[in-house]
Amino acid sequence: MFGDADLGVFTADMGVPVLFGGVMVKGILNKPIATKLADEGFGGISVQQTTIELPYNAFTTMPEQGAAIVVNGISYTVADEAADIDGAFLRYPLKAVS
Amino acid sequence: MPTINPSVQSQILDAVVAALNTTQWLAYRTRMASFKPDQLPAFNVLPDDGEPDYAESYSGSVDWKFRFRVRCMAAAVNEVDKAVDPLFVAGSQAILSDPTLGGLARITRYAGQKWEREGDADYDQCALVVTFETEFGTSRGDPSVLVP
Repeated sequence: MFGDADLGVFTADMGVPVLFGGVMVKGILNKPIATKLADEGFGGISVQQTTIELPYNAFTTMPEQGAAIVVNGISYTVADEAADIDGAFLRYPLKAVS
Repeated sequence: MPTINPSVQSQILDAVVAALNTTQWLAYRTRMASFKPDQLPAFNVLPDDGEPDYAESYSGSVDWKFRFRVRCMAAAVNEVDKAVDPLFVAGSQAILSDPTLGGLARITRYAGQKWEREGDADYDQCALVVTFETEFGTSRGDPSVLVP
């Protein structure tokens, strides 16, 4: 039977290191590109919508909006509340620090 | 093939881009490719609507009201509207310091502005779209011939 203890299996191979509150775990990093503020469809701004997916129990206290987090060696701020993907993983939108 | 000269409105757009390029930020004319955050802040100058007026013009000429948009664009972590504001100020100064745009227009003035903004990404993005209106005259039969 699949259980909480197995969540780490998903991130073990393809996960990237995530440092929060002095604790290191692994999460799934996504960096899709989106174009915003296009003018009649063109000339917009191309940005990355970086998210990190973490097991819901990855940390004793999970990050909240505004928290500092380091993903794959890069510092971010948690931009908003996490989205519950499937009850097991949470997806956190990230924002650049500077 | 005869040479086709650029229209006065096209010359105006070139003049605007040249004026904006005297600021510390790059200006583009009708750039269709998207900007990456490290290419910002920047200006994008786009043509807008024009309206001919024959009522008060003497025979052989047409008076135009022609609008163009200057998109002042920036990306920032926070308060991205503040990142755009210097472009609004410097861009306005560059354009309106000579409202004739080098002798092409009788007048250039503001016609409106609109804020656009987006989050949901590594950086917040903002565009202040400033619309300007110019007035100039051309030959009725040739938009490339300026009529002062």
